[in-house]
Amino acid sequence: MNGELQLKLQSWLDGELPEREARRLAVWVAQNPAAQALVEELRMTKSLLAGNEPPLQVPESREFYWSKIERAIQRSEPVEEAREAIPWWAAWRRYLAPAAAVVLVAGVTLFTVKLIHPSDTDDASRFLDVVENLSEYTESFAFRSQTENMFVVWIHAKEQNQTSEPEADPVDDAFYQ
Amino acid sequence: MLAFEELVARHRDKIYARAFSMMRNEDEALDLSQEAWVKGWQRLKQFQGESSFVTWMTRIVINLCLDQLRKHKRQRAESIELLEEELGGVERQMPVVTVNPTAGLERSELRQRIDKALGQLSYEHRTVLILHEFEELEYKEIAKRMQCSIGTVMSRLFYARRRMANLMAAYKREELS
Repeated sequence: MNGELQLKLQSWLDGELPEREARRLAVWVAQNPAAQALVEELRMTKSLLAGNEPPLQVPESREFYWSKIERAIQRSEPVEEAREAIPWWAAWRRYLAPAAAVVLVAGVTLFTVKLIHPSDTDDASRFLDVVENLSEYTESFAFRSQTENMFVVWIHAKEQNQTSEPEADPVDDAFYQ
Repeated sequence: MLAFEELVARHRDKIYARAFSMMRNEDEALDLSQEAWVKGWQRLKQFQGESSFVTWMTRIVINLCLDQLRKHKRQRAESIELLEEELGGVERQMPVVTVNPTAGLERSELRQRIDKALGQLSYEHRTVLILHEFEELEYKEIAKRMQCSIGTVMSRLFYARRRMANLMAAYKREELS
């Protein structure tokens, strides 16, 4: 008898075989003495154990055994109770203070940055200066931007008509005259 | 809490006995049975009354024992008995016990021998036997709890039963000699 067949006999004994297969196996067992002997042994062991589990008693007094359980329950309970006691809206309050602090810090930071590094969208003309220039042939302007980290001086020649045909200066005229 | 204490007092022996039958160690059985009561208290709301309270509690302690046994298994090598079963054929060499070796025994004597024989099995074989014969679980349910295949459950149960029968016969022979 192979191992698979032995396990099948056991399944049959335990009522774990489908009905059709169980009927077929019962017919085969009836004609096979070795299978009958094995089934009988398995059945004997099964019935031997049923209802004969060795009884045992806790080797500690009722009070001592319970006291350890009670302590463990109490240790695990305060956390549970506290969780249940706080309603949802009150539970949110604990996050309110940190959230307000974060918003405040972010606001102050933003304000400071704006103050130190104003946006480029601000009126650029505020940073355009006429540079004092003693030359009568050139004009100059300076542009500074801290955000771009640059300083530009623009020098250009005065227009020709201004240089070639200066407006009459009464003082000069008087001098030449 | 008082009512729960009363429940513990009423069923503590049964829960402890199940833990001991699986662990075969008094200290571990005490710890696990007490842990089971603490879990029982914490999950009391989940108890639907589909089974009796003691059956529900027994399932909790069995799961705790299985977890503990899995931890043990990781720390030690496979038992020789388990290797024998996996190699196959050893149980086929065992002679079929044809005469009931417990005939004429007092119930207390019979239980003592059952306890002794259970103690000689590897924990895998003992657990399968306990879950099937004492807890009356089906193959599928045992496989789920023990995290193994149904085929493994079947072969372990077959080996455990055959070994039990042979151990009981050996005790009888010892008694006669």
